[in-house]
Amino acid sequence: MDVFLNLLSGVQTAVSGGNLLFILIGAAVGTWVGMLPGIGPATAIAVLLPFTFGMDPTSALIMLSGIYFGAMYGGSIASIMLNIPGDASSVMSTLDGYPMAQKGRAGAALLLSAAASFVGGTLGLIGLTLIAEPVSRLAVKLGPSEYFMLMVFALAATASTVSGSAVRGFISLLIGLAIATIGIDLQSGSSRFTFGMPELADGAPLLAAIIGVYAVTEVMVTAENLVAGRWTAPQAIGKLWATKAEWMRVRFTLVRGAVIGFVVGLLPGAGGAVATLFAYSTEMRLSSRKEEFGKGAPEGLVAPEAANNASVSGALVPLLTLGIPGSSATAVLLGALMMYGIQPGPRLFTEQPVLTWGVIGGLYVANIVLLFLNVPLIGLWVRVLRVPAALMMTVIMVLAVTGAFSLSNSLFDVWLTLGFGAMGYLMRKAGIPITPMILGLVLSSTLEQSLRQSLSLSGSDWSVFVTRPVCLILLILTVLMILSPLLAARRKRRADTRPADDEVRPDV
Amino acid sequence: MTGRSLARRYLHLLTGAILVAVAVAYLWMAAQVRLPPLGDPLGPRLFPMVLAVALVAFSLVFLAATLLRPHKGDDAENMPAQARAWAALALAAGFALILPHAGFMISTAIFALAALELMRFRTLPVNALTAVVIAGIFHIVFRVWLGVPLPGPAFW
Repeated sequence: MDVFLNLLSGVQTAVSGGNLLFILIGAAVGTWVGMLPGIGPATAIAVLLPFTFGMDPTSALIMLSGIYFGAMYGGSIASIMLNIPGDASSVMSTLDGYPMAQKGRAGAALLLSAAASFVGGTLGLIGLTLIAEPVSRLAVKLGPSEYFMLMVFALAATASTVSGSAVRGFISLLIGLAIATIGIDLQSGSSRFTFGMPELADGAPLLAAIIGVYAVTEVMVTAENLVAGRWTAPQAIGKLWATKAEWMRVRFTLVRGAVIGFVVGLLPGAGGAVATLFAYSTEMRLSSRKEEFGKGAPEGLVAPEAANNASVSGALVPLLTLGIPGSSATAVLLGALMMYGIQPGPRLFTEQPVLTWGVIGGLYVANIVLLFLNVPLIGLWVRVLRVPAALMMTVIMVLAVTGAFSLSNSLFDVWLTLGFGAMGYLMRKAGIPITPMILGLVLSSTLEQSLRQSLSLSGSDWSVFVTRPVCLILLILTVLMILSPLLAARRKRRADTRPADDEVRPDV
Repeated sequence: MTGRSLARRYLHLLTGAILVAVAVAYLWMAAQVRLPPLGDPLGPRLFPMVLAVALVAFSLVFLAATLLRPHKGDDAENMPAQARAWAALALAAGFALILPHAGFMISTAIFALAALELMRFRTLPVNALTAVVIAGIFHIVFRVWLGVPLPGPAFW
């Protein structure tokens, strides 16, 4: 009952004042950026963040969460109409979405995709509503050593799974953690790595880093890849209508995709891309029409779309209840919380109920708004697909530089932003992922505080991390998480060198 | 191995070498962090030291892996295209430099024109018109509607 009342008050917050307008703006911007290749929700949130400083934090977070949700809707439009996924979590939607469009069923594909996004979003939000408060009640009971190990687990999980190489993931994570140690140490007052520059006393600005590695890097990469004819013409929409047979085929797929998406979204580092892959392969395994997958099977489109949107709610659970983000977009949202002076962590849910329930309520409203934005107005969005990348990137760079300048009305933050942009570009060239670095930047201070508190309380005894049961379990999970990619790579190497008798294996 | 894949291999080696150098420098600087005379027995040095040691180790593994594993030549590097990426960054730096002097409107229009030209958007007159429109829209949305304190021209 309490949950229902809290949700009701959250929805009330979301529709009061100008919040409904902010939801609409967030949903529209999210859909738009979701369609643009490379520009994910993290970039969009990062470039818009400096301009929300004058806003009420609840309103700002509602809008930014709307962008995150909207991007999941928008991603499928480019996948279906152009065969170009907006971001990694939309890749699976191209497999059957684009073939449907090629067969003249683009309208059906867009409608089914919007319906799947809505159902996935709704079921995911119900999951978030039901488990967020119990998890937060458990979270406040965690001591500093448990909280430290929980963060280590989340960071290790992200670093080892977010890219193909655990080594590169950990390098990225350590760079982020190290950069965040710049500035005055809050506990002792000692100055660290400031090189005598007063601008660095408060540390390297988190927002400059976020804008740099997402927005500036993306503009650089696009400028590099921009070649004539890269932007293909979208397919014709045709009739926005799916047949009864198509609806019947996907009715259970919708639910399965949503459940898979939510559960996978809970895991740090997994995110929408893994959720969609898992949902697609599960659906293919269960289907009696496997041969249709990849050629325009509605289930092949609906499963990843439902999973994609449900994974957003899953990813918000550790963010809102533990203060631990598991993806790039939630890391930027956590950075936003810090910018607004809100201390993220296990007490966020109990100390900021208006904000947390407002965000959840706002997402319910955003989900409905997005359904209306994506079904009747689909023609408008498809037209937006024709906006050239050169124009988009120019606008994004203007936003990035202006946003960085407005952080403290000084050029110092702009230079830092551009420096981070160059660093992000080089990292991408070297195959080093960005997300672990941002997670490291965001969590470094809390991680260090928890470590020092744990060791202070235990009298500098490091065994506290193995003698406490929860710590031990988390430590074992962390080690398994670090070793799993190595074991998987070894298994793959063995499978690759096996003799040709493997060829007779049936497709799985 | 093609010339282009060789360039990529050099890039990875250079990245590895920079990483190792930065990690060692960070370790050295972490060791120099002054400890407070009282309280906080673990001090502000412990955490950076742990990070530095791990970063040195992972950077060495990265460098060793790049050295030992020959790079396959299927992902070609395009040097002129990369130059365009760095040019985009240089334009942004120029935008930042003129921003406090020329003000938001003028510097945005100049930057937008240069960026659109760099990314070969349309013809020069169309690009110029587009740049002015972008600057105008940004001015109205951010300065007028949202009240973001953006710099005006210093010479007005």
